[in-house]
Amino acid sequence: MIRPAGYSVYDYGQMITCEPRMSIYAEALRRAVTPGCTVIDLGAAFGIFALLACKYGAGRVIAIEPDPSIELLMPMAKANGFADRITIIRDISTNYSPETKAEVIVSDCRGTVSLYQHHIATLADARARLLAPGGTLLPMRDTLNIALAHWPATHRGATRPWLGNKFGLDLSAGHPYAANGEMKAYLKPRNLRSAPAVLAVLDYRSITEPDIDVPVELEATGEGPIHGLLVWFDAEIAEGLGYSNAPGQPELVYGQMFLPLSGSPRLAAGERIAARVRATLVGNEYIWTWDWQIRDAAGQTRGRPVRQSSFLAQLHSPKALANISNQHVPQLDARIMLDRDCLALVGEGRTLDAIAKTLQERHPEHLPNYKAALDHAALCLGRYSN
Amino acid sequence: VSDSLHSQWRISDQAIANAVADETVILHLGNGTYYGLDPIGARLWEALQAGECPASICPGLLEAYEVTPERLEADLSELLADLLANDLIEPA
Repeated sequence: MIRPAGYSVYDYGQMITCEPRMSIYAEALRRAVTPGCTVIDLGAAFGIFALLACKYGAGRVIAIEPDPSIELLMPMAKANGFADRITIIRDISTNYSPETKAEVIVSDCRGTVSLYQHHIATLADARARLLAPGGTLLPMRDTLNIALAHWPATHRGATRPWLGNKFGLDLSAGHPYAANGEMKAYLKPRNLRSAPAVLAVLDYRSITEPDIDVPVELEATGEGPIHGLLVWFDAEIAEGLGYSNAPGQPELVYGQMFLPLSGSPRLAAGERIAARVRATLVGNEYIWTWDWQIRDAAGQTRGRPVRQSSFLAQLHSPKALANISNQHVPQLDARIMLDRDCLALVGEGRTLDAIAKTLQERHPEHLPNYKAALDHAALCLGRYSN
Repeated sequence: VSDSLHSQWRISDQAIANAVADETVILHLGNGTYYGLDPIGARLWEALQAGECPASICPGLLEAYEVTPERLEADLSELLADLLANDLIEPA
């Protein structure tokens, strides 16, 4: 399941012009599509891949997307003469049961890196249920890479406001949160302070596990402070067709992921950061955890081991957590009561107008007028519609 | 009761804790479950992180809260058992 991304149409426009990403995907589709074949555009957004699949000869294209952006697809399909070949499924792909399986499934449901929300599970499900035997998955494989990085600006940004503001206030409680946040970066080769190491190979033709837990050792190529770990991916959309968001490659919409190292340790050439990097899918989001320690050139540890995690960048309220524990006893407050009554009125052909009027009659103290009742009913029931 | 309070424990490799004010939220990375600790639980967690045995926090808590030593020890033991059962701590 991929949650609607909430991109704007402007954002989608940047994806169309994102090169070489777009041309590589287009060429992979052109090669994979055979005359009359069935293609699924998974997480289609406004359906650029669906349109391209039609242009290259697909007989039927199913565009699956829960986000409202998919509403743009049909006008574009009509404008290009493809409307009779495209079916829109406004839902998540795991809810879709196909009449026939597809010869090609194309998607780009990555975030800054390929481990993004339920991307892995979504592709594993699509491969098992929606793809015809011998069919083609685009993309085919991503390789995640990691290296030591020098990025003083981010270190300053995470420390100065909290530890050295000019107002003489003690804001230090905010520093651990700022120092553990993963960040989107567009770093250059000059920012790298080690050779890259492979963090994970995500082969979408076989992958099932969404999490990674990987030990890495990264050796500093020179003396100086290390501000963080940089993660990027090399994408293989199809055999011989790929692109990368590595430093030095054309900047892509994804950016790179930067994991800051607390205190920006200073390393000598030949010293290493020994790290255990974990990406754990919790709910709908990944928690990144990087435990690390310095090792000298002889392999001896220096300093204390450090645990950092994007979890430590999140502010949590224990009281809010208590509300989702299995021991919680919900109280019937006004909001729950209104929603309960609103849901109970659904069915038997009642319009929203009739539901709102009944709600207002029953709860004039909370819904003082028809407009308030209609807004409440629309909001409450809107959670169940696409 | 006193056995667990005088034992040494270490934080599980799968547990990561985030303290906000005097309370603590723990995430188990293996199963994605969140656990909340009240101020007394947070104080216990802090002691475990520092490698102290749980009994070491009893004098301070008896001073800070109106609670009998028996009740405090029973509550801490129960919390330790919960933490152990949920794979958040392990014997050191």
